[in-house]
Amino acid sequence: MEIPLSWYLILAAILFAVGVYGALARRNAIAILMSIELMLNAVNINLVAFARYVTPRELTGQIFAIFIMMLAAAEAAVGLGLVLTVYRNLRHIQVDEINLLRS
Amino acid sequence: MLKEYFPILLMLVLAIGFGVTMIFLSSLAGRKTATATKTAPYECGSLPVGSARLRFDVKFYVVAILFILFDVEAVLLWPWAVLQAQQLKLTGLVEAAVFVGILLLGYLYALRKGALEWE
Amino acid sequence: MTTTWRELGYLTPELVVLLGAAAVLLLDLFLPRGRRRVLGGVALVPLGVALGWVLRALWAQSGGPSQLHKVFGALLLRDPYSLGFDVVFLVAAILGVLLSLRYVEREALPAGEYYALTLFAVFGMMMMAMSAELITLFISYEILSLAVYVLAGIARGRAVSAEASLKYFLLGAFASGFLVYGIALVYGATGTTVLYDPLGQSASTISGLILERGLFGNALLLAGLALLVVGIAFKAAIVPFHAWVPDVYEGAPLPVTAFMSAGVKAAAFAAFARLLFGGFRNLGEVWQPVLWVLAVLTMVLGNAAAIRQQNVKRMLAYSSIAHAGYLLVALAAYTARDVAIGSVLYYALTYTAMGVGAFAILLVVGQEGEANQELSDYRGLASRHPWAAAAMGLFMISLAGFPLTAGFLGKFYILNAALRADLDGLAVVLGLASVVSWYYYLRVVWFMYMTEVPKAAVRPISRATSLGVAVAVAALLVIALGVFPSTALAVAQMAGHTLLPLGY
Repeated sequence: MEIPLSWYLILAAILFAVGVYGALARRNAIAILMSIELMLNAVNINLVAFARYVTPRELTGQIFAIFIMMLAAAEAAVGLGLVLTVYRNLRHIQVDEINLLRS
Repeated sequence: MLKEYFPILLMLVLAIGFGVTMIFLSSLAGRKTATATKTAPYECGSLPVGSARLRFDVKFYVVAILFILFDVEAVLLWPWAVLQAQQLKLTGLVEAAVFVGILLLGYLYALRKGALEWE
Repeated sequence: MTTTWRELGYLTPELVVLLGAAAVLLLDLFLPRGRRRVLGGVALVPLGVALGWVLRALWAQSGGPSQLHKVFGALLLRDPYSLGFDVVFLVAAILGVLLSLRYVEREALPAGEYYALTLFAVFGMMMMAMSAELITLFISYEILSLAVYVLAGIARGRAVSAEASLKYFLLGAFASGFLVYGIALVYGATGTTVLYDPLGQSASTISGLILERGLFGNALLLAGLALLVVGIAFKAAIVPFHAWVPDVYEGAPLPVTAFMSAGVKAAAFAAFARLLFGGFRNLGEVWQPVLWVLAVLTMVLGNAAAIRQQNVKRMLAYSSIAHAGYLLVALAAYTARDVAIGSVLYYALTYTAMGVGAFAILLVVGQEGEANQELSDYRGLASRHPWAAAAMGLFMISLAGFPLTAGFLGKFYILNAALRADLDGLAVVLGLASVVSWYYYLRVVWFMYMTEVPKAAVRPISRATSLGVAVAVAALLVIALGVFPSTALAVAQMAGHTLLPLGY
C-alpha cells in the first residue's frame, strides 16, 4: 500500500504549526530559533513529498529542500551570533524582557 | 528486485568488516595501559559524568558554526555530482570549481580573522 | 560554454557587485588596521561601475525596442524592469556608503564587514528584482535578509543595536518560514516554481498552468499565495506585519537605517510586483481585495503612528510604513498593469532620494552615539545652518507630496494608476493620508524655520564632505525627478510595458 500524499502534507502542517506555536510562545531566543528551524523542516517534508508525487521526473523539489537546509544553517549561524551579541550586552536572552527601545 | 539491494549489502559487509578488522588489529598490535582516564568513555574532552547542563566555552560556538556551515555547503555539491557525468560536462566542472573557490575564500577569511585559533 | 558566458554577461552589474564584496572582504584581511578607512571608497567602485552599466543598458534601449533576456533557463529576467530597480538599489547603496564613511570611523565599526555586507545586500536586492522563479526569489530574499540582519546589529557594543538586529532576525526568520511554506504549496499545486514566461515560449509556468488547468479556486494554491504575500509583506513593512519597523529603524546605525528603509523596501516591492503581476496575474480578483485592505491599513496606521513621534528618526520610520502603503495602492491597481508597474518603480526611486536624504540630514545634525534626534534639536536650524535646513525642508515637502517635488509626481502617478483601475476609494484614502502626513513633515520645517534657540544650547553639526555630497546628490535627485521627470518616467513606463510584453 502506498501512503497517500495528504498524509505527508498533514504531517508537515502539524510540524509547521508546532514550530509557529513555539516561535510565538517561547521566550528564550534560542528556543525561538529552534522553532523556526522546525518550520523550515516542515517545508522540507512538503517539498520532498511534492517532488515524489507531483513531479516524479524532475528534481526541483529535492533541490529546493537542499537549498533550504543550507539556508537554515546560514540562518542559524547568523542568529546564534546575534543572540551572543545580545547576551554580551544584556546578560540574558529572554526576548520579552529585551525592551530598551519602544519609547 | 532483491538484486538491486546487493550494493547496499556489499557496503554493509565492507563497513562492518573494516571496523572489526581495525579493532582486532589494534588490540593485537597496540600496547595496553589501562589508566582511569583512558578507560573513561570519550566525549570531546569534557567530563563524561555529571550534570549535562554545564556551560560550554564560547570558543566552541565559533568552531561549531564554521563546521556546520562548511558541512552543509558540501550538500550543494550533491545535485551537481548526480548530474555531472551525464549532462553538465566541462561547464559543470567549472561551475563546481567556482563554487568550491567561493567556499575557500570563506575559509581563508575565517582563518585570517583568527576564528580557528583556540587562544 | 558560450551560452553560459553570454548569460553571465547579462548579469554584469550583479557580478561586479558580488566581486566587489569579495574584494572588500579580502582587502580587509590584508590591510593594516589603520588603513581600513579606504574600504568605503573601495566599496563605491563596484557600485559606481554597476550603476554605469545599468544606465548605459537603459539608455541603449530608451529609443529603440526594449530588450528582454532570459538567463539560466527562465530563472532570471534581464529586462528594463530589473534594470530600473537596479538603479534604485545602487543609488540607495551609493548614498548609504557615502553616509557611512564618517560614521563607521566615528563609531569604530568593523569597516570590512560593514561594506562587504552592504554590497552583499545590494547583490541580493538586484537578484530579487530579476528573479522570475520562486527558489531563486527565496534565495535572493535570504541573501538580502541575512546581510541586513547583521548590518542592523553591527554596532555590537550598543545594546539597542544588538537588540534591534535580534528582533529583526527572529521576526524575519519567522516570516521567511511562511514565505517558503507558501512556495512549497504553490509548487505542490502547480508542479513548477517558474512564475511566468514573458516571451510566451513555455506554458508550464505558474501563470500558464493556473489558466490551463483552471486552478482558480485551488485551495493549495490560494493558501500558498497567501503565505507568499505574508512573507514579502513583512520585508516591505506592510501593516499588520510591521511590528519590527520602528524598533529596528531606531536601533540600527543611522546609515544602515537609511539604506534599509529605501533598498529593502524597494527590493520587496520589486519582487512583489513580479510575483503578483507575473505569476499570479490570473488570480487578480483574488489578491486585489486583500491588497486593498492592506493598503488602507498601512496608510492609516503608518500615518497615525508617525504623528505621535517626537523623535525624528522614529517619525521617519513610521512614515516609511505609510509610504509602503502608497506603493501598495499601485500594486492593487492590477487592471491598469502597465501604469501601475511604472508608478511603483518611479515612486521607489523618488522615495529613495528623499528618504535617504532625510536620514542624511539626521546624520548631519546628529552626534556621536546617535544623539540629537529629537524634534527639539531642529529648533532654529535655519538661522544656524541654512543649507542643512533648506535641504531638510526640501526632503520634508517632497515626502509630504507638495507640487513641483518628486514626491508629488510619484503620488500623482500612483493615483493615476488607481483611478484607471477604478479604485476610487483607495485613491481618496491616499489623498487623505497625504494630507495627514503634511502635519508631521511640516512640523519639522516649522521647528527649523519658525523657532529660535538660546545661544547657549546651540550644538555643532557634522561637516564631513561625504555627508555633504550625499545630501547634495539626494537633493538634486529630488529636484530633478520633480521638475524634469520625463526621462525617469519613460524608463518606468518601458519597465511597465516589458514586465509582461506578450501578456503570458
